[in-house]
Amino acid sequence: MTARINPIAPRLHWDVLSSGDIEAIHEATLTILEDTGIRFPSARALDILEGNGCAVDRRSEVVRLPRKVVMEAVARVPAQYLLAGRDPACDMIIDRAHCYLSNDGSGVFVYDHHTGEKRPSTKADAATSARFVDALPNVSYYWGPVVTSQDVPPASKALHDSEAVLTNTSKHYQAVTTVGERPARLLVEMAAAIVGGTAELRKRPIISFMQCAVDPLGHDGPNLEANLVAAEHGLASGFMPMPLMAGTGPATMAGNLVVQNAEALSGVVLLELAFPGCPAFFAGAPSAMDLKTGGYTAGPEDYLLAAGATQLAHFYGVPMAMGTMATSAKEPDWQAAVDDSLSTFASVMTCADMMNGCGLLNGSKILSYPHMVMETEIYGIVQKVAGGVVVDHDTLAVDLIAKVGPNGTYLSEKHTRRYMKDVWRPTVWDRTPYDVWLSGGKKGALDKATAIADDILANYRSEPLPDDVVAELARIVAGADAELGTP
Amino acid sequence: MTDPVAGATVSPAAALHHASLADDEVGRLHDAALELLASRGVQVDGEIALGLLRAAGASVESSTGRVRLPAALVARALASAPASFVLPGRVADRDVTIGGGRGGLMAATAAAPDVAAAALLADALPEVAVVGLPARRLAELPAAVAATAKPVLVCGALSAAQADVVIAAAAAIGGRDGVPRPPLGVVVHSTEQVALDPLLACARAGLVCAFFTQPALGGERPASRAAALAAVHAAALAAGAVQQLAAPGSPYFVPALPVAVEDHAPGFGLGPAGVASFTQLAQLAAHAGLPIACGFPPTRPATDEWLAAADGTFFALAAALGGAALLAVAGHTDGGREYSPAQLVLDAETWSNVAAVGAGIVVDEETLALETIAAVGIGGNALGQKHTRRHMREVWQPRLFDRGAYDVWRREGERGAPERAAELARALCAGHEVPPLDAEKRATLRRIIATAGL
Repeated sequence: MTARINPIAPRLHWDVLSSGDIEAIHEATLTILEDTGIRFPSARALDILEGNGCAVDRRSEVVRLPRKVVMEAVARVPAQYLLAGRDPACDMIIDRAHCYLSNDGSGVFVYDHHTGEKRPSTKADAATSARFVDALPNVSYYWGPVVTSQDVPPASKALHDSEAVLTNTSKHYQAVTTVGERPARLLVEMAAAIVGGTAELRKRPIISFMQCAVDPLGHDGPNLEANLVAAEHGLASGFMPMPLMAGTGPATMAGNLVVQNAEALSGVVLLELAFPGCPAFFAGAPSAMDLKTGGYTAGPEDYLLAAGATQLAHFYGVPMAMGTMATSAKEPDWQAAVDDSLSTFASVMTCADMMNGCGLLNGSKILSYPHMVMETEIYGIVQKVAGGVVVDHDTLAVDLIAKVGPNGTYLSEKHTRRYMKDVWRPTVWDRTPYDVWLSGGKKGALDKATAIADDILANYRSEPLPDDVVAELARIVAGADAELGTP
Repeated sequence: MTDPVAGATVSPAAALHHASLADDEVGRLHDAALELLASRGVQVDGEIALGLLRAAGASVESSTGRVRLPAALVARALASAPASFVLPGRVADRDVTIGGGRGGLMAATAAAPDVAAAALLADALPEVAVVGLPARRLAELPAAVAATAKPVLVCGALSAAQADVVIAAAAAIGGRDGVPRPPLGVVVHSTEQVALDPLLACARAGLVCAFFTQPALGGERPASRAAALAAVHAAALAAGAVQQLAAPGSPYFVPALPVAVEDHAPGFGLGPAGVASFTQLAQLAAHAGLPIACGFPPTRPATDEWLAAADGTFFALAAALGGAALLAVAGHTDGGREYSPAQLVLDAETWSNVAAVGAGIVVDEETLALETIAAVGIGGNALGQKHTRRHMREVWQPRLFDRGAYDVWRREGERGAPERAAELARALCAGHEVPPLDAEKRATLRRIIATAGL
């Protein structure tokens, strides 16, 4: 039986930053935190920080964090923790030794791969995307939603998103659109309804939270409030800076990493001061500005920044949720493949614990199901590469080579039968002989991925929730519609 | 990135490397390769090669051509091989350093309808370091050399007669002031046995040389990757050792194809094992003090641009991070049957991207930019900062990556990278000027070809 999820345990590692580089960026980060500070536009956050020895300017909401406070707080992040699935077979242990892929999130369009049209996303799409992710073993958890529900009341949209997701996947759900204290509490209530109470949710945390920071050197008030709710309930949370070189960050990668590091670190410090020992993580999607368009690049700087930021997180003993794949390509084409390959390599080889993620085109805007399938193939390739080569007496097979001799064949050897099974097997990658490929109609990866996607969409059914739980979730969401208001 | 119209070769040194074998694993594999050479031996084809090996102390079975090389012989011979050397172009800004962590593409012309046009485009792309000309198209050598000032490597199963032509052509082209080595080299390829005499003749004539055996199809390599690596490395050591015996100190590099075993589809080593093998073979070559070039078989189908791109990207990355000097076979798809200028431009873009990754992150006072971060402050923007103006152009600039708005892309006809690459190829060729080849030299080359009856 195929495992529900397929994490990577990289045997190989790639250091983009030397230990000296890391120290230099770390020192620069502490200097920025102490001298320039970070904005925390939340009265509750300011109270926590001031109460723990930080210098708080209430008017500007800027906090200067002494290095002693920073280092003591970040040291409280647990060495490992659980992100649970509704199905225990989908449990993820976050331990800085495993990489888990999620889908990408917060897209706003769905691409119909049969008609070629793109349309705004709906709650039904959020639901379908969760069912689709549920079917893919290489995607370990659901992040987002992939695409947001744009046909529901905006004020309670995040809860509609969550209802759609939680009823359609039994994998772990990391919410990225739930902001504000009240919506966060309602999401916690929904998750508690699934597992049987908030005490059980602390033991089996089937949800976690991720929020964006506000670059440079700031946070968003509702985002802070939501993550504090998460931490209160023992749910993992983190903050995602996205500094843009030459824009919201310096035009050099090292300087951009300082901004990324300062924002991510400051968020975790707040959480640990508020709830010492709570599960927390850094997140990041640093990039560079494309000089022609002013937008995000998706290029070598992105891959290097991702790798460097992950190394920095691990320097503090904190897991990293790193933006991965998320190509700027408009189709599953040449650019998407180059982009996704290099991005995945960078994240896996630095052991990013959580990798967000697959499925969206055009800079995280357009959902394409075949594209998601193709990206999981790239994940599989990198997984195999990251496994390295085992060199021992049996694998060297010197005696066997001598026995087979020059121009012999190994096909019938026991050693071959033992090791053939280790060879990577593709799903959409074509390695058939040329004539076979020709006679088969020249089917490419997109054709195969489309067939797989169509099969999942038509036939796959995720494990349903009990009717009473579904009803409870619907009740909570309806209450949110009324409470949070509609414009 | 250098203005592509200028044509000079740009090959930044890789600051980052990826070692997928630990030091002790490299040592074990190298030792295993030496043990294979000493115990199983290799098949060698060539009287000169056999004579050299016999004289150096190898055990030679004259009837079968099987040669067993003691480890000490291999080490002694390879001690004279240079760890890096310059493969010169016809002009200085086309010189390529083989070894030392710098890399570039080898643009192949095997399936190009017009070798001169393919060589011209290769000359115009700064990511291309050398141009490959298949031995079976040696008659087109004069056109190739005239169309590019970059080094030309003649590749394939070289016969003695073909080696003589290449040697004569190299003498005719000659070097330039201060650089006596001609812009010509050979990559000898043998399908079964190690056919070395033509290679040795070229080495003795001072040409840059390389040798490789084609990874056998369908099970002629052990199924474990470690054993397969050891076997390939052994062949490289053997060829290098023989060349050094023939011409001590002659420039030699190891060309490597990906190593893997396919269980259900006989073919080359595509996929993760093949990818990983590049960095592994590079580590092994470095351990032996030899520079390496990596070639990947262009089995990718031209009509599946996604697969071709992913395939090519992983191999390029592995080659770059492994410190490979060259990555071949740019510009080709469909098992080498198809060449397209667009594919060469796509491969150049991929290599440029990968090379930028390999350049790594510089961390110093200037790049940490503490003053700029403080000056921009919280919620500010770095666009107006002097630091930004100083560094913004260092950000990688693609020629083909589309980062524009979706609606603009739709409005402009949803053109993908291959289409834009084809357009760029035409523009590059139309606007590019190659330093001319002396008319007398060109005439001499034609005479050499004609005399050889090619």
